[in-house]
Amino acid sequence: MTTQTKTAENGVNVAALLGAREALAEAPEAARFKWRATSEWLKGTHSRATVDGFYGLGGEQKHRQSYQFCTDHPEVFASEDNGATPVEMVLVGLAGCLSAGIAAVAQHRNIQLHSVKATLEAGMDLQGILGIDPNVRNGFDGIKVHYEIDADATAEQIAALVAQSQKRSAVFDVITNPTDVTVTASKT
Amino acid sequence: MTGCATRQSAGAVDVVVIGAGHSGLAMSHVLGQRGIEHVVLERGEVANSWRTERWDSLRLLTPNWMTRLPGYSYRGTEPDGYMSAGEVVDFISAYATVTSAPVLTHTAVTGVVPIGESGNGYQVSTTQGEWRYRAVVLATGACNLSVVPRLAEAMPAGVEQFTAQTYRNPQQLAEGGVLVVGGSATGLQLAREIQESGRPVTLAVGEHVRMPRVYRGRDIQWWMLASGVLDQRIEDVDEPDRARRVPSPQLVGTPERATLDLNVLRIQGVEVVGRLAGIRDGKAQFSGSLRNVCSLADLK
Repeated sequence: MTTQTKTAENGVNVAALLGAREALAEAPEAARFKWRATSEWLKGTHSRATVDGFYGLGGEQKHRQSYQFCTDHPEVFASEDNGATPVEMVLVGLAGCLSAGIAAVAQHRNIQLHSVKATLEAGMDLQGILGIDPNVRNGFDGIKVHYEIDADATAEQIAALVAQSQKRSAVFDVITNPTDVTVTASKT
Repeated sequence: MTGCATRQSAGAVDVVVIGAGHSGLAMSHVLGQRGIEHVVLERGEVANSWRTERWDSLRLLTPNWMTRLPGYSYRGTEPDGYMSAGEVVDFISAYATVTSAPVLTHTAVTGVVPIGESGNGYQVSTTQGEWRYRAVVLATGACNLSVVPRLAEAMPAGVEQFTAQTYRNPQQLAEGGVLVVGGSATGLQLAREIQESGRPVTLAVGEHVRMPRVYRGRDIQWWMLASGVLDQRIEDVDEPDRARRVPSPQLVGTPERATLDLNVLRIQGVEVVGRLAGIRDGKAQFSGSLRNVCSLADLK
């Protein structure tokens, strides 16, 4: 009997990730990153955010190109709906982070992925942000993420991928744990 | 004082063992077998931390038949039982007697300094005087200092705080709600007895390892021993740092050999929440990762 050992192809360069892990363990300064975004208010609830540079590996870095994202509110809020709501952007970030993690973990475990689809839903009681009920929080009262994954793996292996991805997800951590936020303002 | 060591002879021996608990006494026994002169210095009595730093209901997590030291083992009638802290004191004390361990009690070591270049031995300062030894064995225990997270400083002053070393029993605590921080054996055991005392408990749980107490009629420790898990050396694992960070299992030693896990506590009425992530404006904040850490506990 011949055994064929196939290497999964998920488009993740695990060797590079493991190399980076090893290198950054030795160079804590290079591991300190700063993520940035700028935003400009356009009109009403419509703003445009731009992401292009960040700091890491001991110096300034650039994305391949600059990315822009519009946020707005929907028409039911008497807005023009020129983009996703900011809270939907949070879901976008969570999905992107968890799916990237699933791909990386799958690659590391040599699991071939065929499709990874996430559906996210967050509950929110508007009585919070509208100041109607002080006991209702402004933010989500919970987030539900459901993954449908087609992969060469057992259901348990897939569950383990998803669990490990949450364990190492930056956005999952940002959402599930308190983060110190400083907002300042200056007059121009 | 146990054994035959005296203050005069201590200065002339080769090796000092610091701590007369099970590790120090086992070391003493094997040194004695090899004819190496030594003394065991103990800040209090033999098995001191078992006498002074354990909560009242504590029992070992390993069954009695596993409780064994070089040249000595459990001789009672309940090999499948779990020793109470008091029984551990008796066991270790009996070992010290049987092995004639040269223990100097009430001799706290206050400093150990190498003498000159390496190989010249150590200057050991104690509450009974200064001595020199060729070699020092630290057997002071792995859990002598409580690790209190820094966020405890933000706890409102009106909230009384205990560590597992200062906690004795629920009666020590004021009436009212109690937050237990930590979801391994200690946290679960304390949550259970505090809840039983009528004080409603909130249990903050991060990553943890869940285990049944008994599997197919045998203690889980039997399986870990039989399968070689307990023989695995840190040198042999792929990622030693990660292996060291794996939480110790959720276990309890009871006469019923019962399993203690989060489900048992929830049925009992304990409110299980995520890891304690912060304290802001006098309110504790808990991580939203509870579901995932519970999944991880079963997927490993």
